[in-house]
Amino acid sequence: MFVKTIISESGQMSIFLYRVFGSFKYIYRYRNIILNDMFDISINTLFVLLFGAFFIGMVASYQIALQMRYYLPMIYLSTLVTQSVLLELGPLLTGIAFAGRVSSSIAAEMTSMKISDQIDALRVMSINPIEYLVMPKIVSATLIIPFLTIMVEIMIILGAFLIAVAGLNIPANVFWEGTQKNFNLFYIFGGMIKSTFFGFFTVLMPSYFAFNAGFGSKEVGRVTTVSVIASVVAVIVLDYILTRMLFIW
Amino acid sequence: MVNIKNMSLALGDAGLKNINLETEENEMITLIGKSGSGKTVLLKTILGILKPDSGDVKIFETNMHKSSYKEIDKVWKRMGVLFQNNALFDSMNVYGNVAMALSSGYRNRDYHNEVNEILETIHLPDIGDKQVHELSGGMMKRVAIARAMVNNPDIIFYDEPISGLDPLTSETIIDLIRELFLKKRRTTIVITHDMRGFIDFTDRILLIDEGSVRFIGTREEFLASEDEIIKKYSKAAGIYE
Repeated sequence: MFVKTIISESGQMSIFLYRVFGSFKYIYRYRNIILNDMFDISINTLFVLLFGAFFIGMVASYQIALQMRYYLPMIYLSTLVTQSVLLELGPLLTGIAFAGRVSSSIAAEMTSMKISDQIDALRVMSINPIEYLVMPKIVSATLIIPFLTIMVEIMIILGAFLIAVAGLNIPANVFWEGTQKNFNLFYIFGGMIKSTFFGFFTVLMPSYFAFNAGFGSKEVGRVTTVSVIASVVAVIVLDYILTRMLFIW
Repeated sequence: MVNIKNMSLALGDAGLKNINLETEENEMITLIGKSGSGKTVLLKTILGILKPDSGDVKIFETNMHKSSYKEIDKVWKRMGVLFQNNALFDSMNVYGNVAMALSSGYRNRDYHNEVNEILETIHLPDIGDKQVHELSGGMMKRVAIARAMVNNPDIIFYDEPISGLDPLTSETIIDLIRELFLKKRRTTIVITHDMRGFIDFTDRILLIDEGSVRFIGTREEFLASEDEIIKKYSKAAGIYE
């Protein structure tokens, strides 16, 4: 039974994915909706993301300093923070925050539309709901998330800088010198590539579950929960796969 | 127009069993049945949203479940649908909702002439700028009817057009549907659990009971029927003597 469900769900999701890819040829037609969605996603996530990122930077600074204080000179604190932020923390944090904030809001919105017949209404008005609702959100999320990731990374490093200078008495110039050690521009691009995939799947998951929602208002809660869980799992699994592909050959 | 042959669909308690129906051009059919009898399921199957387990549904000779998306899309362009929950988009104003049916979601030209004309037809001029949440239940229903009619469809479906409305508002909606039907003479299918108001201008009545067609015929045949369930419906509608 479980295996049958997995096979059936995978098949349905593949068909859904195929339709989503098929709708990409209409990107220009829906450019205004895409721009609106980009704006909405940024506004909805930016504050939470940057606020959280700053505190994570502060915590990271303390924790790394605590672990390395007897073994490494403090100049390497910022090196370690920067490397871990660019390679892992920045994209992963942005992906998980997206899964929580964007996935849940898309799941709730689209499921409400499904149970109140709005998606069916689009169909009978000759408007393909995947083109009109799903594709613009996927495109806007995948376009905006790399830039949000960079902002998150900057914010984490600023949080770490504040603690390093004010809490650990590391001179500012030593901190900035450390950030440039072992720096590789590809780390930034790698993080952006990873986050693009996270953005794609954190919109795909809630859209798929919402389009396949059943009847009744209970579905809004169920689909939202399932979507967030599936998106977080997708982000974590993808993070491993992409890290292996991009950074570890 | 609509041609249903031996159509069955198992869907929990609201399945459909061996449904047959053929509509004439420009006729009005009132589809009645108690709540949960499968009326909305039948509508969604006719529209091509739900897929039947067996049988065929054709509209304008296009099979709504076996034809290509392009062909079905051509049929959708020729129909108007009022959904049970109105299905208005609350992120848009009235103009946006009605223009949606004309724009296919992306054509950004000015639709004010068409929208204003249909808003006048439903006796609600000057509400184009209002948000959906600012409207009363009856106004929402009328805007949803305007959206269904703005394309000047060849066939129109009304799903429970008066459910949840007070008697006076229901009367207004029935009058509007009568006016639109008599003025435009399009094939019209009204799905309702309360046939009062529709009985005097409908051409045929279709009674669905537990997923099957219990009766299909004219008003006179309906009234003359000796079937106990039909008599109950006639009595509830106030037309049984």
